[in-house]
Amino acid sequence: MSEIKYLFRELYYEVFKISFLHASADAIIFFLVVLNITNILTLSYYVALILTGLFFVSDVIFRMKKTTLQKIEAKNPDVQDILRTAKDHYNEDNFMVKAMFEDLINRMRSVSAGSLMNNKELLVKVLIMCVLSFSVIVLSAYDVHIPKGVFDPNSYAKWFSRPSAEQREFYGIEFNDSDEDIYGKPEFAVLGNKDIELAINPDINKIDFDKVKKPEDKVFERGTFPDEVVAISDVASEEKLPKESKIAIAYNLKLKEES
Amino acid sequence: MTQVHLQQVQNIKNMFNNFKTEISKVIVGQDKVIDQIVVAILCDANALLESYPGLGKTLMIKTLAELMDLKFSRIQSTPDLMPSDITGTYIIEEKRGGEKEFKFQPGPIFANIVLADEINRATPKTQAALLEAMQEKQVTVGNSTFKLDLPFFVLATQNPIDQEGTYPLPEAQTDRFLFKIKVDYPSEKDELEIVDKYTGPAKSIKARKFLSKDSLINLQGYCRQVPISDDIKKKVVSLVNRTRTNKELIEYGASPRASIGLILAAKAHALIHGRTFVSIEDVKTMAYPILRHRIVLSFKAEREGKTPDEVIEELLKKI
Repeated sequence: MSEIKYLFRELYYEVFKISFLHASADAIIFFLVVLNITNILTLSYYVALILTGLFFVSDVIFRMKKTTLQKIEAKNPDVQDILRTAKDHYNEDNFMVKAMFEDLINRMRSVSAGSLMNNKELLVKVLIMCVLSFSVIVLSAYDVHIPKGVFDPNSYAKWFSRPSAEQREFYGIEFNDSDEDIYGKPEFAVLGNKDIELAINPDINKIDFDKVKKPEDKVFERGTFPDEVVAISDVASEEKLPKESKIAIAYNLKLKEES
Repeated sequence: MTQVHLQQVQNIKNMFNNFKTEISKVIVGQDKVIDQIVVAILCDANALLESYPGLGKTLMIKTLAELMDLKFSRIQSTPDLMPSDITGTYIIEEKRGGEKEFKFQPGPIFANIVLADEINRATPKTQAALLEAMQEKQVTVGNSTFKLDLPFFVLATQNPIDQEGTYPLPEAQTDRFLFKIKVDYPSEKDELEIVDKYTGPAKSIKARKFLSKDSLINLQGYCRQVPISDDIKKKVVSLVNRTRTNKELIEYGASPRASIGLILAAKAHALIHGRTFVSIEDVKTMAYPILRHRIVLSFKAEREGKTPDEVIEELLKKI
């Protein structure tokens, strides 16, 4: 029984190998196509790498799901009946079922990665890869790309960096593209709307008592300080005050008198 | 990994190949017929052989019985054959003291392989007695019931010609035979070999014994263990069901007994050919002898001159 479980695991592994191989070939073709497009549009090659990564993962999953037991049977008609029978009698344990499992293990040795793989399809893919690689070299060598006047990737890149509607509103005022020239970028303005947490370092206020010096002795002599300190208003500066300030001063003085 | 079980299945196949080689010393050609009889025996079922006279049916069955080390008996059916002639009867036996008592004298049915020659010549009453023994594997005489020795098979024969004074088996009774095997005329080459074999200097042709009773019973057990996929089972049931629904060609279709028989026969066919599982080819090969006596053709099919085998062939194309 464990042998047959091992056999089905092996079969799953074979399917994974084939799916991985085909998905790799597809991913290389996809990468080369996207690379050609990014070269023409003068976009970063990271775009091609990211898209290819996503394509590869989804392709492996899709191929694994697509390669069912029926597909394996279709590719190997000589094991079709025995494979189905083994699947239906997986948990049985008698003389003939054991013999069938042994027979199946023998037959499945011929069902390797090779029999599940379409060599013609793989050859076509390799040829496509060669053509696409050549086109990448040619496009790079001759610096073929769409002129900036026709297609400026930075103008499209700005689309991706546009702030959201929430970000574009500040104190109820909605920013337009033209406003940016006057007020600067709205996201900076938004910063003023946010709470700022300030942490004051308490170490600054610490007093190092070791460094405190003793007060110097000072001898005060009589007559050093004036007996009376008188404040004299600066008339000249008062005259320079704006009219509104003079009104305010007058108003304050009036209030002082009344109180 | 050791392949003990698979090796044993291959040994079974080799044994049956040797069996056929041995039987071919006596019977020339008729490989298909021999295969079908062996399958019937492995399924622990009965078979009806239909052929013209002189094709070696009796010799074939007798040789099979000898090869299998089984007790063989022959019943020549005639209109005056009574049930007691088959089952046996009580006779009065006198003991030493002069005391008399009834003692059961077993009939020819008490054997492992019973050849009921020209069964359609026996009266329905005698046919019924035989068919009861076939079904129940026991006979009742008076108030006593006697179990038959296992394995037990009835291989009956009938001629398709010279129907005058015969009692053709009704459909319900032919259904009890798992197989209806048609024995055809041999090919010219085979016939030449038969002529050479049986017209030369007289010499006894002895066949070796191959199978003991116990090993045959074991093989019957293995036969039932042969795995079959659900997919093929569904196809078998669908085929048999189609014999009931295709009213255009078939008046009366096969019963579920045909489905059981077809799956069993396919298993046995796979086993004697050394396969560890049932394939659709086993089903297709066995469909003819299993279904041909279980279907009654419609008027339209008969008018078109179709035979049951042709109708089965049409049904098989759809599975």
